[in-house]
Amino acid sequence: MGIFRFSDMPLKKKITLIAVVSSSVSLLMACLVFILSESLTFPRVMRQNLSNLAQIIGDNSTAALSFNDSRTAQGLLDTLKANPHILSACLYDLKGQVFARYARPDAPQYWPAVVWEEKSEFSGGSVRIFQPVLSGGDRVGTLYLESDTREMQLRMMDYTLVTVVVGVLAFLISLLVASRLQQRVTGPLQQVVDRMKDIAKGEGDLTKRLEVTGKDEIGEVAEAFNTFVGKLQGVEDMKLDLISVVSHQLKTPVAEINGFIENMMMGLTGELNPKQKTYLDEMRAIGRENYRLITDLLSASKIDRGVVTVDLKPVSTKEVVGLAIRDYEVPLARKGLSLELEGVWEGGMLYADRDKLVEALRNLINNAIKCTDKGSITVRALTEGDMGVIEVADTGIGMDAETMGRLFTKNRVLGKEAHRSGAGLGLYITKNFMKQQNGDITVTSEKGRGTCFKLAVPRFKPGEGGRL
Amino acid sequence: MSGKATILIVEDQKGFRMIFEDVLVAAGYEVLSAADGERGWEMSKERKPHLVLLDLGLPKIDGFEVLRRIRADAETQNTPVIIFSVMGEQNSVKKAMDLGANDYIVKGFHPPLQILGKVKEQLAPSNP
Ligand SMILES: Nc1ncnc2c1ncn2[C@@H]1O[C@H](COP(=O)(O)OP(=O)(O)OP(=O)(O)O)[C@@H](O)[C@H]1O
Ligand SMILES: [Mg+2]
Repeated sequence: MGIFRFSDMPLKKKITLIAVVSSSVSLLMACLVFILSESLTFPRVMRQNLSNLAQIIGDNSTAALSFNDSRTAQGLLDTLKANPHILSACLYDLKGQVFARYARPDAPQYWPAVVWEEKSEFSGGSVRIFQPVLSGGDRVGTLYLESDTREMQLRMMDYTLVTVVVGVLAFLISLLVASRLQQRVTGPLQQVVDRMKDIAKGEGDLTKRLEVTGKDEIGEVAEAFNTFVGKLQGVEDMKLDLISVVSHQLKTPVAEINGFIENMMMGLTGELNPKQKTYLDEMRAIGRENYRLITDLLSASKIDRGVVTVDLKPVSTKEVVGLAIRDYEVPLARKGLSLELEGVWEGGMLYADRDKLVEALRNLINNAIKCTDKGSITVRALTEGDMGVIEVADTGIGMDAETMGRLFTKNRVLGKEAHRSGAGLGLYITKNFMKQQNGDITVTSEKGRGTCFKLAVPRFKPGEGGRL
Repeated sequence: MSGKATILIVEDQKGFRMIFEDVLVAAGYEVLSAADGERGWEMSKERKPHLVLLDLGLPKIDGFEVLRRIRADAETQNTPVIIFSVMGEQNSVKKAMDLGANDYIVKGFHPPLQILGKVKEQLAPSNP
């Protein structure tokens, strides 16, 4: 177990803890002060009470002392029975001789020698006082009273019990209240945190806003955050618009240049010498690659703006594969790779958007050629249950786990490898297109041995006029 | 008959017009061209080409409107029309096909031989 750190605690625990601790501490302080003040005042009160009692008894016994009537005095002391806390009492005459005495039956039958001066003391769980008995200002004797302190002890125990019970109750209630209340603080904050994490991961929906619930600091954070997201969205929209406008502007001239190159290669401008043919071959390759890149940029910006639509129809695997491999003869030949087709001719009908499926497949073939230096590329059609599957397997460089983890995202667009192999949009678009067609793309790869991408789309079942 | 067929190209981009014209002329067709929708529609009606290659984004009136007029007029309603589209704009292709276009060519994507193939297909006698 690591060291406990307050700063690592979740906010909701912190708030609960602070509330509970501070309320418990203040309650405890109040109880302590109360008990302390009680324990300070109680002896004084007891002494005062005892002294008052002594005063009354003394006043009533002056006559008995004056007339040496010890029976009356004894009778007077016997009335102390009524007070269960009085342990013993003793009346002394002026010479200090015991005149009358009383002791609670269960108390020790012991009376001290007279003490002349007025005096009170606490000791051994009892209070004792000696008090002169005066008659008209003249001393006629001395009264001794002893009382136990049980009353005080009982009261103190009661107070302690009440303090503990109230303390525990208060603790539980404050825990309950605090854990309820903390949600009103941490709930909105958690929302802000979650949304920020979403956006930081690049999956956040920038059109969504936080609900601003109050005018407190959290409300302010939410509002500031919303303003921030608004600005971010503005920048994002601007970026998408820019990409879209620039690609559109680039597309036509690139397509025109490609057209002129094609026409020259067809011989429309006359016989070509071998060098011209080589140059045109290169130009055509560059032109096509650029056209593909622009198309990818446009597709990606459409995906990001959420304006991709699909036109699902029955389409044959054969047609899709045929369209997809059409332009790759030259690039394959140039790298000395062979293209194997397996199962394509018996592959059934798919229910898909033909152009999007073709573009998806072309992206995979393009990647396979790019990442393979010797061996072959296999395009394989098969069926798996309700799904039609087209695989593109190569014997190329393969991928490590890190690359695999980043596939299907466009995180690499501005990465350092971006210009080495492409814009890094191909698989992002492919994945999106497959999802739009109710399909999916999966991959298996081994570093140094090869890669196999697998496109799956629902099969079309002829006769019933619908998907399987 | 392919040698004498007249084809009208309605395309505002000079480069594309030239590319398609050259391919078709080399293949022996007689080629007319118009650089905007209005002129395209007038020429379809006056010159009665055997086939119209029609771009969709055109000045004055757009390709969809030209197509609508061709299909609405008794004199031209049976003229085959192949539209030019841009890669990644399947929506407009679908809209044009629904309006009665016979086929489409993706600019910068379909090489000349395929364009010729599509043209021949539309002009073949078996095709209405
Ligand atoms: N068949 C493959 N073999 C090995 N690595 C591959 C293969 N296919 C894709 N990759 C890896 O995945 C990365 C992403 O592929 P993706 O198609 O998304 O982008 P790209 O090919 O780099 O660029 P673009 O397709 O936009 O031109 C590639 O850069 C490459 O590292
Ligand atoms: Mg790629």
